[in-house]
Amino acid sequence: MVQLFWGSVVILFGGVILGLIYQGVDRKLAARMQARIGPPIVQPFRDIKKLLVKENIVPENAIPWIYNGAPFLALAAVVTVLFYLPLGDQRPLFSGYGDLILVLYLLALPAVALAIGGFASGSPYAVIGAQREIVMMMSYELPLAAAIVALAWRLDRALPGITAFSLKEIAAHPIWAYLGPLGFIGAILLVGVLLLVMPAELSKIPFDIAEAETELAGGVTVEYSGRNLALLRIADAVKTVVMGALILALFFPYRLGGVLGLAGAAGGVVDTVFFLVKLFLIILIAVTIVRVAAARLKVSQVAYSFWVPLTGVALAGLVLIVLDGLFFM
Amino acid sequence: MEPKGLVESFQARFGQKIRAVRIDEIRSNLGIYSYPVIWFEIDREVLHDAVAHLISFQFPHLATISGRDLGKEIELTYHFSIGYGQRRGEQSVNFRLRVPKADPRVRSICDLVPGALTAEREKIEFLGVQFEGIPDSRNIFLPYGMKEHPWRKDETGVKGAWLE
Amino acid sequence: MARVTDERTYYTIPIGPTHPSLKEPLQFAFDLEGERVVDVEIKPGWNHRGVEVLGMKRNPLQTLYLAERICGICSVSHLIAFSRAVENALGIPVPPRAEYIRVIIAELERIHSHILWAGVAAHELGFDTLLHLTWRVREQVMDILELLTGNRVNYALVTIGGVRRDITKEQEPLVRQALRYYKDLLEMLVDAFLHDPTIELRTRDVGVLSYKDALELMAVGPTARASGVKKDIRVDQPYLAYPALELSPITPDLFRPEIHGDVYDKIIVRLLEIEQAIGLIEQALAKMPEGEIGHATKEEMTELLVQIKEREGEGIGRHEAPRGELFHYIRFQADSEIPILWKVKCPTYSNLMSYRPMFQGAQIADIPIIIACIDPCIACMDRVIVRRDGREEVWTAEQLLAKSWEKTRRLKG
Repeated sequence: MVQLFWGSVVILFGGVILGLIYQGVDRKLAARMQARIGPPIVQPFRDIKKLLVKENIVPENAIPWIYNGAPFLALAAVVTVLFYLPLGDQRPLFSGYGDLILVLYLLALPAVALAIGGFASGSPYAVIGAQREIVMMMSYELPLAAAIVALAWRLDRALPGITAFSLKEIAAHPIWAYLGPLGFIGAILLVGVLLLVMPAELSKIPFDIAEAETELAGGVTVEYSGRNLALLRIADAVKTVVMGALILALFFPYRLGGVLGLAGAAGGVVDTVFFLVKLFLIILIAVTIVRVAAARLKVSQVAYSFWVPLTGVALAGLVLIVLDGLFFM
Repeated sequence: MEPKGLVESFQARFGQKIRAVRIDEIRSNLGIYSYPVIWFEIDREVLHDAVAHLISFQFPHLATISGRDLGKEIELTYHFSIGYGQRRGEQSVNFRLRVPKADPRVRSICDLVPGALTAEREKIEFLGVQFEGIPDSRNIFLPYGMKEHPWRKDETGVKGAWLE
Repeated sequence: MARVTDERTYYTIPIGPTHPSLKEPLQFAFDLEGERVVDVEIKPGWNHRGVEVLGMKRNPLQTLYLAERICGICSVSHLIAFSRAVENALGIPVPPRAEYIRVIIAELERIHSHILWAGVAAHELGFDTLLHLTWRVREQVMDILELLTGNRVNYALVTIGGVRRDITKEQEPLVRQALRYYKDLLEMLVDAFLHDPTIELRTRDVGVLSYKDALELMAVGPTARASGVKKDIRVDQPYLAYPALELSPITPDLFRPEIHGDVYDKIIVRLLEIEQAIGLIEQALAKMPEGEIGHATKEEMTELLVQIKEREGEGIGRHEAPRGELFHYIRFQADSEIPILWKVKCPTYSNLMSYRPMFQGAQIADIPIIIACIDPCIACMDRVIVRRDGREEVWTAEQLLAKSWEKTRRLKG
């Protein structure tokens, strides 16, 4: 129990700091790609520090307890997901208390919280932003779920007897070793789907329609200020780490420590560094490069592209993996 | 359309209602080309018909309406041009008319030229001209509800709440 | 702010006078049904300073500085139109070389204005990478303008009866070099804007202005040409040195088979006009005769002022500014150098009416790009003095001035 408590504290603060550092790196790299100088990497920390000392304004026609509660809910949900994910060489802190399905639900929670906060803030911009947030959520949930279910089912098929929906088990048995050629193609499709779901889940360009600076002046977060905005920013940063770590755990849970024959503390350090590098690469590919290279889409275009082509690809991946499971055993 | 022919056509159609005509020939400083600028002075009753007559040549481009306060009257000048779209074919046609300040009514040309709305609304708020049949007579550049007309020479300034 | 009409609920969202997608104050009130725009009400005037009235209290040589500061982006356009209005009213001749120099500066301004617009449009679409790219490449033409005139904006080059500075033999190769730079760049810009899938998704069939609407609502400039209305004063009623140059109005059918009048077409027109401007400057440089450039000395200026005072007349000065037709009308009485009437009409004033049909059936997401697509210049429309601030560092005004002199000297070699 004591270990669990200190583990939570370490993961909570570690996750927040890591998230903010990655946000700083993302901003710097994006700036470099756009031929700008960009802010220093510690800029997100400064932003948070400034926001925390600023006045927390609650609009007149907002519903205060919902409006103030939503940022807490968003942050709490993403941090909880962090407890279920294998980070570095660590096995998940809460392994045994829940599984992948719970993670899926927890991942949906920040978006719901944001939408509720938007509706409760009583601004027309925020209301439109909240509607868009809900549409977004409905759009990316199905491809995300399809990818995860396919993976767990295939693992269960390959290794009967393990609890396939447990992230610990998925991380312990990298999927690629058990796949035939069809399954291999299917899994690659699913990786692609998840890499596209990630910016949508994180509300980054081209899917930042819920915030859309030039249209809605910040959308759902338009009325938020001070501490509440700081919490939302932190939740956003942690969510980036969570999404990256989830994709890593599902598809690339490889470690270096064992390969190099290192054990104990040395192995732990190497694994952690390797994990951070992997996380950086995922964020670079799925967030930074995409947001530098695209324009914002319209909500109808996002809904269409997630419901029709992307869901199609996800289902194709699922079917290929199922066929693989049935015929290439 | 030659400017002379255009003027004759207007004179034949409106007779004495056209009080004066002037054709300026603007020469290019390179000395290779010149274009006409026609100035009509007309009665305010025939403005609508004159614009309709102009439309029968080509749908005209209205740059804007300029206006000034003459004391007892307000002078309006409608700056049209026709012949655009052809190389060196465009000629400017201007209609000038006067309305008494006591009765500053002119028929709106928005039904013929919908794009005249901004210019007419600007004349309403700045000079206090009334356009009959204008679809939207609110202020455009000045705040809604402001009654003063800044371009009138006898205007003494805004009062009361507007100054706060 | 829900409102029930005809048993339907509309939301009204205000955009402006200050909003992230607006660079200058303009107010829109959109009636929305879900994400769809049902109606829009536009209220300009937040920047109105009564510049015309100020101009009716000064002599034209003083008003030159005022006219130039109506707008920062198209400052030379205002100056050209104003000078032409005065020259036409009073019959003041302009030497041919000055007319060519005016064309060169006007076209350089077109290049910088269109590139600036392209960046703003990309930003409205959420494509900040293109914003930073375009604004960086725009620096080249700003440098050339600074080299030729001494200033980045508000060039103070055109005066009544001529121009104030000549383009020297040493400067010509530098201008040509910049033109080559943009020629090479243009292909990349066309590729980045017209072949980018996300930009195509966001701009095709968005903000459509039909030929009929463009004609009847008095659209001007690229807004009108993108809908197929061939209004271009440089061709229709050529002035300055344009009668001697080869050009024809740019319409989107030069790039794709049909004219749709959407935002994509407006991008096509503006990008092709950059190419056209490059060609015009090259022609002007090649054909420019030697000779006088107009009034320059103090005595000549006094002589000009006396002429203005003695003569009477009225004149129209029209100029095809980057955004469309710019119109100055001025009228003088004898024995007074103060004009009795000065009316300025700029492109956005004419294009304002086009907003309503363009917004019909648009989505919220389309609002910023449609607002941007006519390239609105609120300062022009409201006739205000635009001030451009320096960087907010500890630079004092004197230091900044010294810095800018230093840079101008560096440019001059």
